[in-house]
Amino acid sequence: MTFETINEPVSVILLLEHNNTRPYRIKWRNQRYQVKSVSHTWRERIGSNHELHIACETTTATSMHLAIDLSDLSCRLVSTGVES
Amino acid sequence: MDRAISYIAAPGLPIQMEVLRWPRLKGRPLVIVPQLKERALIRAASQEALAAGIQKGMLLSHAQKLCRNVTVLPFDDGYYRAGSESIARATGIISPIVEPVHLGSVFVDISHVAQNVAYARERCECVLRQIRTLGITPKIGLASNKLVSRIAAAAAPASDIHVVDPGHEKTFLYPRLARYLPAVDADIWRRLELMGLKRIGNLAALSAGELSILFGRAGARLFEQANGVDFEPVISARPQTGKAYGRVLTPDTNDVEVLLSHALRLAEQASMELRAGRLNATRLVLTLEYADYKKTTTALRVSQPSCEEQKIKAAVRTLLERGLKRRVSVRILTLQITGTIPHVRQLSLFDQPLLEKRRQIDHALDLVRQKFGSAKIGYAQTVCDS
Repeated sequence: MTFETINEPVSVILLLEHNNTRPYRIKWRNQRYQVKSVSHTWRERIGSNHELHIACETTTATSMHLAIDLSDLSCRLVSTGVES
Repeated sequence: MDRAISYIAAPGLPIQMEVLRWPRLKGRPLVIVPQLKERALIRAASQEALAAGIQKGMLLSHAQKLCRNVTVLPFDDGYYRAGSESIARATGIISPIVEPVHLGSVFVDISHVAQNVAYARERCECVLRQIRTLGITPKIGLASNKLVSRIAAAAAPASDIHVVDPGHEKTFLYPRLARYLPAVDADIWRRLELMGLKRIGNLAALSAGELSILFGRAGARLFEQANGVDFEPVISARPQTGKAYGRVLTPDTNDVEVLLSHALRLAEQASMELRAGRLNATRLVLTLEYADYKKTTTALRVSQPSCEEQKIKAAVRTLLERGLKRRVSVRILTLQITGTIPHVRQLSLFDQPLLEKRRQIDHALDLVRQKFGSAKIGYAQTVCDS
């Protein structure tokens, strides 16, 4: 698997379920990725802000790591992992 | 039961956390490096990578030659810290006296809640279940002191508890290898192997005097540890006595300006953390690791302990001037703060406008860094990365 650091803003459709936040679809570089499963979620603190991090698998076999800034709900694609 | 100390450890936490984040990496050779550079040194490796001959501290380029399909990931400090904090939170359900040791490892004092060994074990099982729900596999050692509980955790199978009953410490320790003792470093272990004193029982058979003759000052500690003696308490908020900041240079360089900019960046980082912890540095150590793997270490005792950025930078500049004696390119720069004292501001009888101005600048920089992160602002002298 090859991982690449991206750090680019992305558009994400988020599902706010009972007690968790799950990405449904990600639009990055004019391409849509359907999320198959969420592998892990965690929070990190950047300065005075909190970021929600979500690692997920897409239907195109691409692993994606998203960071959602909880102060303005902006989404960032942190890194991707592709089967090499 | 006089004391009940449990040592909770998540061995290879960075690897465990990466597999949690990227489940497809499970069962594959995986290494973690500080930076994704060919000359970076391996910080953590999965069991599969270790089986392929990869070791911690090895050059990434060498590891990639040994195992072609190894997956390389950058060290994600924030992510691992989040995992480590969740372990510490999970242990908080049995006792408030939790002492973090390093990433993913904590000592918990449960003496006041556990009246007997069975109850202490039950509490540890509760923590074990709690940590397993996080997706992390821990190991727990339960004993009457920190030393034995730490060795018990190392002896425990994955996701299990090893209990050493009070009074059975020596029976537990004697057959174990002496390198499990904290007082045994690489040099002492090499000497012990040569002398045929590999087991803790072999050391315990010697007197304190004999061990002192063989190992000098470390001998007395070895004698105590070999006999399972450790009275050190579990301290929740241990004052930080030292910290290291490092940087792998890409490419290796012997350009003084570039080295200085990197060293000053480390000084900025160190002084910011000192101010946040309300500490003053009393001793600084700068280590230069050259391309031929030789090291130069220079130390400086700060005459007036301080956390001011300019003073720390001046000390680092002196250390670099003293340390740079060779013309070989430098590969790794490490700045260590090995001595600290609490920061107390001494008021002056006279006006010191320059000092006050510097303090205000430091404060403003800290505020910006706290809000936007430490990489967002710095002095121009630290941006010479070419």
